[in-house]
Amino acid sequence: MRRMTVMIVVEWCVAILFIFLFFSGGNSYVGSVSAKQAHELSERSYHYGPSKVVREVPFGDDITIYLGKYKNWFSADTVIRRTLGWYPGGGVNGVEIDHSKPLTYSYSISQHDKKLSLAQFYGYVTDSEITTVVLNTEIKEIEKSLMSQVIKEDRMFLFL
Amino acid sequence: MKHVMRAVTVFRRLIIVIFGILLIPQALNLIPSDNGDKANIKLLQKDGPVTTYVIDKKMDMDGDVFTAEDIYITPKQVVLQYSIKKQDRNGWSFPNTDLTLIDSNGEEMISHGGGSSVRAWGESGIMFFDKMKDPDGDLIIKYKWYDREALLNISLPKDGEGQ
Repeated sequence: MRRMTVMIVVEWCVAILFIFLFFSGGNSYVGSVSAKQAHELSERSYHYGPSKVVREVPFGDDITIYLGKYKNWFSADTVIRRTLGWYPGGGVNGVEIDHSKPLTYSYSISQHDKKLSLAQFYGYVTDSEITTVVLNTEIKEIEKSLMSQVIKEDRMFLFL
Repeated sequence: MKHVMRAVTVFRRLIIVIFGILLIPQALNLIPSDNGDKANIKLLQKDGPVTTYVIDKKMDMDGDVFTAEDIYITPKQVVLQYSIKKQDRNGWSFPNTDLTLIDSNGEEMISHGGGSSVRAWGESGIMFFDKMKDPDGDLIIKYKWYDREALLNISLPKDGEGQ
């Protein structure tokens, strides 16, 4: 009986040690608890920012885009929720604002799963006289669409 | 009571098995494997005599610790071996294009390749640069990334003082 008790105690110790080791870092399974934390981790690990978030744009429940400005750069850092938390998903890199142009923009298209491919067009408007930005999309000359956004004080836009 | 005891035993052993399996990749990462780096460095001998300088100089990069480990100089190229200890998991890998070498004339040396591999604590990597124009000169590692900038002076011991 005593031997069994020792076994049980040892097994519990091993179980607790394993759980501790797993959650004490060093594993890449568990993501961040919140989207904001994943965004901060994304910028910190990329050695960029911390940028001033001008807009937080959720897309569905599992994607959040942080439209941000840092000094003379802007970015649309995207974080994704998977089973075990939030993870960096792209767009962290800052694009330098070209002040000689009325607006500077960038875009990315990423495949999230079998159903969703997300295209992002984002940028910063330098020309103070521009009040609206229009995105004209055309898919194989069949599907055409116009999207427009009013430029507010933060001078940034994002089309999804 | 017996059923409860049995259920608890099964639960406990399940934890050990499941977490044990999940910990395997971490355990494997802990095994030092410099095979790739060693093979690369061995290949340098094709260039001719290789001089190795142990640098071991550190630089902070947003809380991550960059270490310039060694510099290898051959008649054909200069090779920098570095490591970076990362504070976060699941973050981006280290963009080594933010590093350049500057020679004693103040000119940036041209990089012609590199690579890195993931370790339990971060990454280790290697970068290849063109040969030194002034073999007796010292080097500077220049870090430039967005608004981050730093210089790491590397003095190379002369006349066989190198290791």
